[in-house]
Amino acid sequence: MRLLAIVRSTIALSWREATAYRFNFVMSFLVIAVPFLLQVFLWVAVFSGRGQVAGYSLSGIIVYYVLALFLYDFVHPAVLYDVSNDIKSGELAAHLLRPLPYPLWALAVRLGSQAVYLAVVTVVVGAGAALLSWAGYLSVNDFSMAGLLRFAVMFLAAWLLGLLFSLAASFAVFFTEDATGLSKLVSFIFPLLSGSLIPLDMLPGWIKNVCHYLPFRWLVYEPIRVYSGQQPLAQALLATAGWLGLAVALVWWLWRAGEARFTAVGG
Amino acid sequence: MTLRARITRYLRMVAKQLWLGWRAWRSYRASFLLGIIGDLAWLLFTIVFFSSIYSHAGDIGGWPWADVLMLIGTAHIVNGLYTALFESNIRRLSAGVKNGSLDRWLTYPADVQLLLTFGRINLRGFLTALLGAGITLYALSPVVSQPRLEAVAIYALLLVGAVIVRLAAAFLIETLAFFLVNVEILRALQNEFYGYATYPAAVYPNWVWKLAFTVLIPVLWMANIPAAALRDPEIAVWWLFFPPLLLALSRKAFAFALRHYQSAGG
Repeated sequence: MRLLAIVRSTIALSWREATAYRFNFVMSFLVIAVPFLLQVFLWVAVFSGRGQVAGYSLSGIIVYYVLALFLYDFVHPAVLYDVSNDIKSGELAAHLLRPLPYPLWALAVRLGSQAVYLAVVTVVVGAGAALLSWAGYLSVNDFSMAGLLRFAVMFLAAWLLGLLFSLAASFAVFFTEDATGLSKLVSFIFPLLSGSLIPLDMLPGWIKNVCHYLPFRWLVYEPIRVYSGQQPLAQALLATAGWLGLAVALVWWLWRAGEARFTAVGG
Repeated sequence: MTLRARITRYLRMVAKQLWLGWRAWRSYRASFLLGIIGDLAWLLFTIVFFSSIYSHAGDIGGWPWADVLMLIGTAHIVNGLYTALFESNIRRLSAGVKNGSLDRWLTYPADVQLLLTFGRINLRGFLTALLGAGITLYALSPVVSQPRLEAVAIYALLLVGAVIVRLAAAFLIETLAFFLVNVEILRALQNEFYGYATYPAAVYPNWVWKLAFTVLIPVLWMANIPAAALRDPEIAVWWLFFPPLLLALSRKAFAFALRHYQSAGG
């Protein structure tokens, strides 16, 4: 119970910190909205004079990108710089004295700051979808309530999986001292291999085969297929749970091994 | 000082900067190589993205594959040259405003904007530009298309213009640091926009959007405007007026901001 209260307070503090910089907060709307609009323009041009492309209709592909946009920033694995800084600067030593295990604390901080962003993204994506409906690119019928509920379940699973991968990447700092390289590498390959750049079934066969054996597709492409009913929810959850188990084991192993190596000189 | 002596002096300075860039590469080899891998991956993924679309739909808004390849190559040349010559330099302006080190620059007996624009050279940018040039040459090869000589000349001029537009637009953003202090989100937004430079102009629904993304947010300048010279040089040549205009505007904005500058330094 006490542990839960600490986690809740950590999330609340992170929310307040994220909303403190209002200009950045407002600008983050534009960072999401305008590039997305350009993607819509591109696909409208691609579908010009065509009813279907690779089995997708125009509204189908726009719904795909609306959902991919919603998912991307939450599931995108990246080095958490506050975690890597704690390790590099030695501030982790202070955290080790606290009653909450550090990996859990780091997850709670991230959940709190991302909860703010989730509110922003939900508003922007919702408003964007309404505008697209008004402009005639989408219709309300393109969104099914049952599909959205299935998607919400998959979103939570994918969010947690993405966070665990981010934590694992951050704990790599215990061994490499600088995880910038790893972070860059993931940020380069993730958009293509997760299906956020383009649906995986539109890619050439050899890339599709590579994607099949990687966890990234369960972060973007498969949750969208669950929404559209092309992938059964239970099957997708089972597969994601498998990757979650692997991710937890990896995070725990990296944490234990890293903690054993960790040294800090206080002042 | 004679013109010849002045040119020799500037060439020596450029050579010195190239030498320093080479030394920086030797010191941070892993980071440099990683950057190159990233550039290659980004280029590869852009090509995969568009080729996947072309394999399912024959064209994008009437644009054939070769023309989009030309856009990809051109965008990489512009981005590479900007990264090589200016990117890390002009960031010193917002950093200087934030930590007060701009005061030092203001004491130098030279044009401050010029000092902040030139300096460090990032060799990685030249490699990106070289990759872009390779793709552009492939798209230009006789098998694909054969432009007239004057069209190629206008294309080259517009390429330089595109780098100046990117520089001036970035300088305008950095100048906002005098009023906002932190411009990182604006810089991120601008870079996000330039990621869409390879989209053909045909995807913009009407002339209002095209004008907005040429003048207000100069995304179309990063590839479409220079590449248009190869299709329609007589019209594209008129765009050459814009880069000096935007550069002049950035100078005016910088001068205006300087008049309101209060040092944060200690």
